[in-house]
Amino acid sequence: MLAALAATAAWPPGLRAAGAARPPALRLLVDESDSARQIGAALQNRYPSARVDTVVQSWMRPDEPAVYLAAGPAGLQAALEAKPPGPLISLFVASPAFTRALRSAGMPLKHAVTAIHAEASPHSQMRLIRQLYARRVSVGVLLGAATADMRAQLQQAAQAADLGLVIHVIEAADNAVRELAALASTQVLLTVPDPDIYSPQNLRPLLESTYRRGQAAIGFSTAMVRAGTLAAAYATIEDVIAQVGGMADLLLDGKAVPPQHPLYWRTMVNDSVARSLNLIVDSNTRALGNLPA
Amino acid sequence: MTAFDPRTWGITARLVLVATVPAFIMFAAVIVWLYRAATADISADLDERADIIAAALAEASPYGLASGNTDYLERSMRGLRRRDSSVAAIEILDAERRVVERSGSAEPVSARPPVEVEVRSEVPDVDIFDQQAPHVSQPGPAGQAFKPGPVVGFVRVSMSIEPMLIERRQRLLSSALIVALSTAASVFAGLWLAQRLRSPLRSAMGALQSIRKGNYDLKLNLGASTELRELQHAILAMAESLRASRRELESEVEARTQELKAAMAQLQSADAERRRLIVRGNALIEEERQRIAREIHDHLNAELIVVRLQAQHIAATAAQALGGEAAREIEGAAERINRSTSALYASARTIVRQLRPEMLDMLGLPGALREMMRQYDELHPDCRFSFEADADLPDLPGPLAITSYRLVQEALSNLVKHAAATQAQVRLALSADGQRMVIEVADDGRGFDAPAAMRTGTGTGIIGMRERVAAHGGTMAIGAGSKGGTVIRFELPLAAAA
Repeated sequence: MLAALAATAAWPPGLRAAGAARPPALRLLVDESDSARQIGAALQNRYPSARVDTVVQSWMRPDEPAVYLAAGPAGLQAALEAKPPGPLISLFVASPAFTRALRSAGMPLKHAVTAIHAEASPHSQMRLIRQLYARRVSVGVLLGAATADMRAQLQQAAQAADLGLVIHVIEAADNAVRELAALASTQVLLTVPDPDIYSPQNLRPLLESTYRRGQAAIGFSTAMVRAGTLAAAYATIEDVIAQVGGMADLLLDGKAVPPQHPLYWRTMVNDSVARSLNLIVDSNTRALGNLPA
Repeated sequence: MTAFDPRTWGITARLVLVATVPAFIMFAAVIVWLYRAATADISADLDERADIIAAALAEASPYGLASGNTDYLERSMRGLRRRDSSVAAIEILDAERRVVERSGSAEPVSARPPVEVEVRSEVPDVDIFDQQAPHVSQPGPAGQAFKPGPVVGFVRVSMSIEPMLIERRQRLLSSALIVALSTAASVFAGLWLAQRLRSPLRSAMGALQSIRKGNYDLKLNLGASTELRELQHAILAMAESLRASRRELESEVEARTQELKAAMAQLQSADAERRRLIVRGNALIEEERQRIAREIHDHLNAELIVVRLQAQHIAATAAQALGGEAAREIEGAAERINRSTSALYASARTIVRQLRPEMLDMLGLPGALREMMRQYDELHPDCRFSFEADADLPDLPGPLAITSYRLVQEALSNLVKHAAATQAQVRLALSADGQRMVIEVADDGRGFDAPAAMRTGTGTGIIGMRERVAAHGGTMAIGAGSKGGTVIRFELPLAAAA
């Protein structure tokens, strides 16, 4: 639904025609963090004409056609509040945070707002799970209110990867660790970036719980792998930046571009966890992914 | 109480104390130290165990507190308590301090305060896409993924000291037994050493006592200890030195004794000579007195008798021839001559008696003395003079009799002059062994400082008496009478006189 909401804000055809002689600029709004600087550097490395700003007023140039980029939840929030005079691509924001930000923005925007989510797609994750086990296993997913609309995506991905799927939706007041018992029959827990479920307070007990049950947990970021999940399909800064150009072209063509997961991704494995689960991770699995050209 | 006075303790008691007291003090100190160390160790051990258990459970508890699945905690706590009997109780509490799980009694079982450790959740130290910063996934090495989070509960561990005390008591007893055996061994070693020390010391003491008694022929079993051997050598050297000194002293004393004997012999010889001279002098004096008395008696008295007869004849002749006044004057003059002659005659007789007591020759010493007493009694009516003499007195030779007579005469003369006595008695007797003549002159007069008089020989009377007595080898003593007054006692050997 949100994807549709974002897609309804069409790119004005006149704007694309006016800037045909010179490709529209990519204007990135970032904060002052280290990762934001890395993102800016990667963007300018791939798109030398791209501008990186940390101040909203200088970031917006109504007189120039541009595709506006916002990195991180704070950047997206600031961008939505500023209402940029062009299409906006949210970068490095997990899908539930993006959805929440759009809901917070309230009324429909004049220009298209889309996103490349921070986490890899369920398809990528399911492919990784299938590659890790090389057989059909049952995958359990806890979903909350913010991620409940991922159900269809997950089912499609599981079906595509020939994996069983058990989805357990919990309420915000529920104890996620206790609710994990509902997935006791599954071999793999696929995590999603839902902060109501995988909060800082819950993460370790959740991981301990899966370990006690002999379940493998698949993370949604490299940080999750470091925290103790078995593996994760993830997209680096460069992977996401590589995807921006194509999306910007589509937006400039006036096409609706729904929010999407990273097109390019790769795999990270926690070998200690793999050993404790008696899993042998081969090189093919480690090389699994879709790297940009 | 003297047994508790250290000054009265002998060397054996001191050595035993030196040998045993340090060992007992050490024993007591070690036992106290062992007990205190054991108690401190137990306390520290309990604290350490409680800390470790609480910390370990605090590490393991976040999952149980978050999930509500505390079975594993209960098993862990039960296992801990089973393995460690000093763990009295373990409690897991949530953030509101409600007991989530408990193993052990809920009641306090020990005075020791329980150890309480916070249970902190561990929050990821990485981005799990919950921050406002860009959600970035970058490959990289594994690092610290979690960090301590908020307090989600508490672990409370109560320890009991009793089980460990029971356990350690046995060990303490074993240690105490070892220390006691060591102490006993130390005491025995000390006593043995004390005995080893005491033997040479007693030997040394015996040697010193022998030296004190004048026995310098010493034989000592030399001790093993250097100091004791030095002491014994010193004693032997001292004994040898004393022996040499004694020999030298004895030689010197012998020489001095010989010199003294020679001097004494010379002195005695001189004294004997002096006494002989005195006796001889006295004899000469008596002889001279006797000659003078005889001259007076034979010639002067005879002439006085002739003069008196001549005066009587003149008076008779004048009365017959002249008559009248002239005859009366002649008769008066003759009468005066006759009276003067009679007075001279009486004086001459008195002089003769004093120069030569004729009574001594006629009546012997007792009779002469009795006559002398009678005369004193007549001449001094204020004092009564009495005389006693043993019946079996031997006849004394002339010198001894005249000496005895002169001694009594001098004593009575002094008595009359100085004593102011009312009673005077002279006693003549033989000594109990019959070897000496004893003369006592006693009075009831005022007395005098006889010892001083004897010592200083004040007055020619006492000096004369002492010389007379000494000339005959006798003794003279002056003392106070039992009822006051003075008693002078002379003892004259009869043999010397013979």
